[in-house]
Amino acid sequence: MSYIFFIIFSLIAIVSAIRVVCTKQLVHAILWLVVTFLSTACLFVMLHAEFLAAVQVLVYTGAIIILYVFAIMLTTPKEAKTIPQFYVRKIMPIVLGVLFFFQLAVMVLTRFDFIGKKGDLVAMMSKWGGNAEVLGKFLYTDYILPFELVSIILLVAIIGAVVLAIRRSS
Amino acid sequence: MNTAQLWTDTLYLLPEIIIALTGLLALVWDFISPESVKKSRLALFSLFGIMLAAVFCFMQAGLDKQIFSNLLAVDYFAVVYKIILLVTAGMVILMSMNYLKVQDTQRGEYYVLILFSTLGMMVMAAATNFISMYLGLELTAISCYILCGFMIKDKASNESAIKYFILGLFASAILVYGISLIYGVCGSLNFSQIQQALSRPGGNSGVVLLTGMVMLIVGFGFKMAVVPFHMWMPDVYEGAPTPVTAFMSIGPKVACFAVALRFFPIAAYALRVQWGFIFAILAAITITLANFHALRQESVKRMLAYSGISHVGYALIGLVATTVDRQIGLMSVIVYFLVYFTANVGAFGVIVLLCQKGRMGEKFDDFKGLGKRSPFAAMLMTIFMLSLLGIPPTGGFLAKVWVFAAAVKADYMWLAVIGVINAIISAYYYLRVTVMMYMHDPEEQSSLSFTPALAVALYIMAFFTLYMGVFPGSFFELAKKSVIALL
Amino acid sequence: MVSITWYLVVSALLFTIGLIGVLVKRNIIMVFLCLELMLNAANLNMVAFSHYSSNIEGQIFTIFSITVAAAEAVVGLAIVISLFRNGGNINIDEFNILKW
Repeated sequence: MSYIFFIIFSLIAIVSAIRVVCTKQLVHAILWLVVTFLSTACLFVMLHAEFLAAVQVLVYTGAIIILYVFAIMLTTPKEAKTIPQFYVRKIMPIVLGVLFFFQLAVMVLTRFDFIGKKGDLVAMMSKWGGNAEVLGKFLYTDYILPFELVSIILLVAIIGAVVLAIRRSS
Repeated sequence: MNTAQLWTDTLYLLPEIIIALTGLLALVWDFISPESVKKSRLALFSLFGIMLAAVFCFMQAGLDKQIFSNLLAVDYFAVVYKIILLVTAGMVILMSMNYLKVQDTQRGEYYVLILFSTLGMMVMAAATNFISMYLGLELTAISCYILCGFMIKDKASNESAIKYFILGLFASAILVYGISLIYGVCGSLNFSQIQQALSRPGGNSGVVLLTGMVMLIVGFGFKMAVVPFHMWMPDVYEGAPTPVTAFMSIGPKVACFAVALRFFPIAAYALRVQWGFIFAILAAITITLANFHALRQESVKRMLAYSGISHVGYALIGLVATTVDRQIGLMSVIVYFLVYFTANVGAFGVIVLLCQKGRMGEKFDDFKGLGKRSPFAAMLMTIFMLSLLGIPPTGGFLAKVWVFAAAVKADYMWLAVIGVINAIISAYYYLRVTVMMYMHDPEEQSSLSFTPALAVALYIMAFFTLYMGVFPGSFFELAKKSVIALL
Repeated sequence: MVSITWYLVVSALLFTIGLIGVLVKRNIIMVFLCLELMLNAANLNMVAFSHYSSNIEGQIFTIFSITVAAAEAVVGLAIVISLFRNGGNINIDEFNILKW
């Protein structure tokens, strides 16, 4: 059963990712990206990372994609909303990319030895009630420092948006 | 981790907290006092915060602790790197006071971004876990993207920001993918646990692990601007405001090296044959190609960008040498960066002195007759150039000799030979600045405008450049202590 | 249970598609989208490994990397807007003020 779902979601993810790269219209590319992100979120659920799936939907498909749509509205003139298709001199990156993929695939399929120690995430999840609880527990204790750092990163992003995108009238 | 533990750990984090608080206060201060008269006070306030953080950093010397459940280390190595980064940030703020006034873009956010970027680098210098390393890296990078594009009305600055952004995001994506592969094999993001996993019998092979390692090196390569991955880096350096260029040509590279020195020779020591080989090749092509590009430049700023890339190559030689003798190799890298950062900050400081409105003062021609216009600036520039070149009375000579000696000791004779040949070639473009200054007549008679604070700071940098060359003992001691903390 | 290998293959495929897109596409915003695709692949990798080694760190890392991606998108688009306001073109081929 899980195999069927896995195949469905991963096929959707891959096909829509290809559509992102191949489509002519910028807005279409963004919509296909939404589909990729959503199916990735489904894969997250299958990996028992429900909270991350929710974050993925909220942040990626909710926030980031809206930002991109706004950016297109603000920057791209009407006649330039379509993108020229690829031509011959772009063969090289594609060949490189395909080779790279085969490298990754071969690497994954040949041998994969886990040499670390297994953790006890499953036990913790059943003990504390679920994925979100475990993540919360860790985020506010062991990983409190990165949590605070991320808040500064977000602050810097706000400063950046204000500095770069708002023109003071002089 | 209980609450009491949290509080004691927070005490060890004081330098970082001071920098963060200074940044936040400066942001609020900038908001409530809009007149541009106050901006220089804001700069002085940031400077004060940096000094305070540096004092607390010094107090941490000699400690050896892991804080926040092994996310950060407080040890001698981190202290040395944090001091380098804080001094760089302080110098950059002094330069910026001059530069922003000349360019007429007085905005308080500038200093806030420099402070937050420094915070990110300090976290990187202390990181012993990929999570804290990644967040430090991104904090640094995001602040630097904004700083690059800070002159929003200048097209070159815009272009520099967008190029840096694409490069940076590309590097991050590759880096995260590499980290994920290493995590998958080793089962942890913590450096010491990765070290344990890799040191198990049979732990140092496997295609997945090697691919992860290569992608990690590529990601770091982009961030440190090592040659096949440098692509747009000189453009970025040329287009960014000059003090920001000074900042970027030292800060992110030094911080990345701090992470690399914690990860490769220590945690991934079991894989030393593989990364040693890759880094050796990267070092050779980095030094050579960057040198040949630097020969052809007409802009001193761009020349310094390429020279910075080649200096990363020299430092990589030291990293390669750690495959055989970790202590000598690590010490040579630390000494190299101590010397490189003083000379490079100084050289950019002199360029800032020459800056006029627009993009003046960056070309070789602008240095014509500087010896007559301002003997003080010309003398300082000569000292810094000689140090970057590696001529005996300066620290640069010592640093290069050390790196090459480490390479020879590690049986990388060919690398040392390439390094020496390139050091000789680099004489052309470093000495060209000196020739311009002393053997040509000035084209304009205008005197330089500089603040006394910047002049004093440049004198201090020049003093240390010479001091390191003449009395290197104390700096070796410093490097030795920090390496012992690491091993 | 689906073997981890298949998750890795999917993520490798997504990563490669993103990589090709970055190299092929000339429109800045398209390049950004492809970069997001690459980051997404890396996140999928992290979560898959986290599940199979039963270790929480991968998921923590993913939360942070998603947040950072949002911050980066904000800054990147602000840069694009500032470039566009100066009459710049958002086509990579036409970045020629600074020579290569």
